[in-house]
This record gives sequence, structure tokens and C-alpha cells, in this order.
Amino acid sequence: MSFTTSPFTTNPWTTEPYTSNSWGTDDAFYFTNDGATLTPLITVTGTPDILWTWSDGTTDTNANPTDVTSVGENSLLVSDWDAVVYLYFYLQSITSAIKTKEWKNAVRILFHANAITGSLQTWDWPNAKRIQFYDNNFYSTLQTKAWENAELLYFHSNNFFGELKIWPWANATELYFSSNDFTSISGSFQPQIKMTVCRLDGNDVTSSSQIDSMLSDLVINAADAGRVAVCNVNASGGTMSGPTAAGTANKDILVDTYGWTVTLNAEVGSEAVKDSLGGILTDSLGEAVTE
Amino acid sequence: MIKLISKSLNISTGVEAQAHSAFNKEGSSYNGVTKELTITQKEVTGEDWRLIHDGKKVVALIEGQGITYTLDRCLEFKTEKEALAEIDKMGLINEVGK
Repeated sequence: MSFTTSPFTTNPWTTEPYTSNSWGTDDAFYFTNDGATLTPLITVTGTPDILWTWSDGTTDTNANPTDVTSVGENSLLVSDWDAVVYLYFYLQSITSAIKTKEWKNAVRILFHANAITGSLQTWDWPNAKRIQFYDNNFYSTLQTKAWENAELLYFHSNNFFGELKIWPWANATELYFSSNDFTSISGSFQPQIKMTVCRLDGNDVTSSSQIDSMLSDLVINAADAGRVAVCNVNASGGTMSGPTAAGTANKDILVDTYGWTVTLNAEVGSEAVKDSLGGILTDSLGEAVTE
Repeated sequence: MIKLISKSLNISTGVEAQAHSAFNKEGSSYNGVTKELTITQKEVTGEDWRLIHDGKKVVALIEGQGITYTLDRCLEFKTEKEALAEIDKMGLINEVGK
């Protein structure tokens, strides 16, 4: 059941603890902002009921509301949500956690440059071509999905941690998982033959064998007969491990044979690693070892 | 800092060499007598911004960390702003990170 018509759309209570909208439903999408203005945008197919409910109790039924100056907890209710094809929340000063929805027909899901906190619940999003949650403060593991139609996957510049699972993502051209706190990578980099950007830099994958495995997979990816473009791969920075000599050999194949651009931390045990640490030889975890 | 590393790949014919992705890269040449395709790998280090391009479009714009390896052309800039200004000046297509 949803309450989309008056008198249920506004909260009649103005004193604590009743100031949050008691008429809200689980069907609504809630977000809290602290900025001066709000200009979120959705696009829909057909004529679904759209109801924005602002923290001051006012409402809006346009897909693209303007001149909203509300600060606090707001909500969006669309009946039904399957009509939504585009969600665009760029620079909306969202400071809360959010609870995403299935958004089965969404083609683009963008929450860019806010300060969204908490965990990110992901869904199958079977029609999404662009899934973009970058430049926020998400703090959780990230459950990646098959996302068969995804072309752009932007999850960079957050605080995701733990394992990053790589899926085949046959349609993906750009993978951005950089500037997070991922500590391991699983899955194969062989199938993403449309990929032209692969950004993993600024994470904490300290296993040189995982870096080697990635490079080994990428050589197979680069050799695929269906590949038509080169790729820019970056797995440097943060506390990322460099490759071993075997990984370096595969890096050279990617660069010299296939024309890719590859950025990595220095090879494990190389002079470059020693130089950057004042002549101390380190292992893949950055700990000093005896030569 | 950009270090140039010259390498030779054994390629049996000129046709095969021309089909190689490195053939048209800066610093590449094929010697039909020795059957060698000479390429120049760039190894870019340092904290400057690295603009990698192929003369027409931006291949990568990298905030300096780690080591970048490429056969494409490299320029280094102290700031991202300077790099973006050069991209505009050179008229490079920049679709990186859009």
C-alpha cells in the first residue's frame, strides 16, 4: 500500500519525535540532503504517479523538480518503479545512507558527487547501461553483479572494502573501481573485451599473485579476436602490490604487442621498490625482507 | 620522468609488421633486412600528471603514481589544470572518464 494522495503526503506533526514523515512507505526512496537547493532528475516511460515529498512537507509531482530549497529528509515515490529509466542525482548534497531499489528498467543510475554514507545495496539492474555511484562516502563491501548490459561501471572514490569480484561484463567499456579500499580481487579479466579503461588504482590489493593473475588474464583479453580497441589499465598507487617478474612479462606483452597503456606499482623486489624505500628490499606486503 | 626503452620484435614480413599495433606508434620502425620491428616503450614515473595520447585523442590522464608503460606519446604536467589546457590546445579528443 502506498499513500500518494493528500492528506497522506505531508506530515502534520511538527514536534519531535514525530517530525519524520509517519506516512512514508517502504516503497519510497528516501534521501537526506544538507545543500541549499535540490535539482534531482528522473525520467520515466508512460505516466506513472510521481511524488517527491520534501522535508518541509511540500510536494512535487514533476520528474525534474526545480527551485527546491528543502534541507533534511526527502523522499521519492513512483508507482510503479518499473517506469523509471533514468535516475540522476548529481551534486545533490545527499549526506545520508540510501536504500536503492530494483529499478528493473533503469538504463542509467547515477548518484555522483554527494556524500552518501553507509552500505550500498546492489541489484540485478538488468537494463542498466550506466551504473554510477562514484565520489561518495559509501563504506561497505561491494556486491558486484552480472549486470549484463552495463557499459560504464563507476564505483570509484568511495570507501568500499574487502573483495572486489570481477564479472564477465561483456558490454562494459569502462570499469572504475579506483580509490577505494579493496584488499583482494576475484574473478577473471579475460572476457571484458570491450573494456577500454580498467581503473583499480588506489586500492589495497597487496597480493602480487592477484596482480599477476590480472595481467595474465588481460593478455588473453587483449588477444581476443573480438577486441577492437586498446585498453588503459591502472593498478598503481594505494598499497597495491606490484607484479612479480612473470607479471612484468605479461605487462610487456600488453604494451609492446597490443599497444595498451599499463600503470603499475614497481615490480616486487625491483630496484624501484628499493629506491622508494631508501634501499630496503620489501616483499609484496611492503615488509622488509633479508636479501 | 620519462625513460625511453628501445626494444626489437622479430617480425618476418613488412606486411605483418604493418599489422602490428606498435607499427604506427611514435619511435617505431621496421627493418626488412633484419626482420626487426623496433619499438620505443616509455616508462613514466614521478608525481606529475601524465598525459598519454596518440596525437588525436587522449589515451589516459594519470595522476602520477606507480609506473606507466606505453608506446603512445607522453607529456608531464605539474597540475591537472595544465594538462587539460594542453589537451584543449592540441585539440585532442578527450573522452576519458566521461
